[in-house]
Amino acid sequence: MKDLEIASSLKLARVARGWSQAELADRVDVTRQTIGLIEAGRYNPSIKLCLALARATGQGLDDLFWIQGER
Amino acid sequence: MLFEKTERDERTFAAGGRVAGIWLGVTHILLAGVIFYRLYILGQPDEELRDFQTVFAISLFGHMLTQLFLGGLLPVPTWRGMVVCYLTLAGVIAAVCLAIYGVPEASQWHSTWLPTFLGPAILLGLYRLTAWLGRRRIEKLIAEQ
Repeated sequence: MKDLEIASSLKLARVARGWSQAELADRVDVTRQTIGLIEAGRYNPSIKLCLALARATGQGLDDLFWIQGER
Repeated sequence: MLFEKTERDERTFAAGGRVAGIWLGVTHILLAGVIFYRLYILGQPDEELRDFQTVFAISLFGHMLTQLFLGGLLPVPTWRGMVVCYLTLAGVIAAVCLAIYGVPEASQWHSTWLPTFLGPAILLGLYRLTAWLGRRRIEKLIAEQ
């Protein structure tokens, strides 16, 4: 599979809600470091985690994650 | 409390798997190196290395078979393919051993001819069983949807 770079607006969505990384991590049951790495583009989350993040932030999946260079 | 609470999630779990895989590989290489060194450099008898060899074989084949089984999609050889693989493997092992050690004494058959012909059969049998079980497992998972 081609190595796709995933971009996200997770940080914007999180900050807009006034949450810290730790708070968001608690809501989706992952570590704070995982949230930090997703926001930094250093970790590609599973589809399960993407959906959990989309639900937690009230965003659509397409609004939260996209392939780098396609937006 | 002596340690802070450690959280686990998909990322740490995946990282743990990668770390375990890397160090298992390193351990296998080191163990094979120790066996080789003690057998061929120090000239220690084969019998003194049985424990090392057994642990090495169980770990190596156990790891491979488990990974292949969980991964699922292995080519399942036909019976004809099995026969061809067996003849090739046993033939190559026999040819190499004959070239190195010469023709063995008839009384030593249990430590020469037997492993030469039985070893590849056991390996191929285990491979085919694992491949078949792996494929069956995945097909069952799909059928349950």
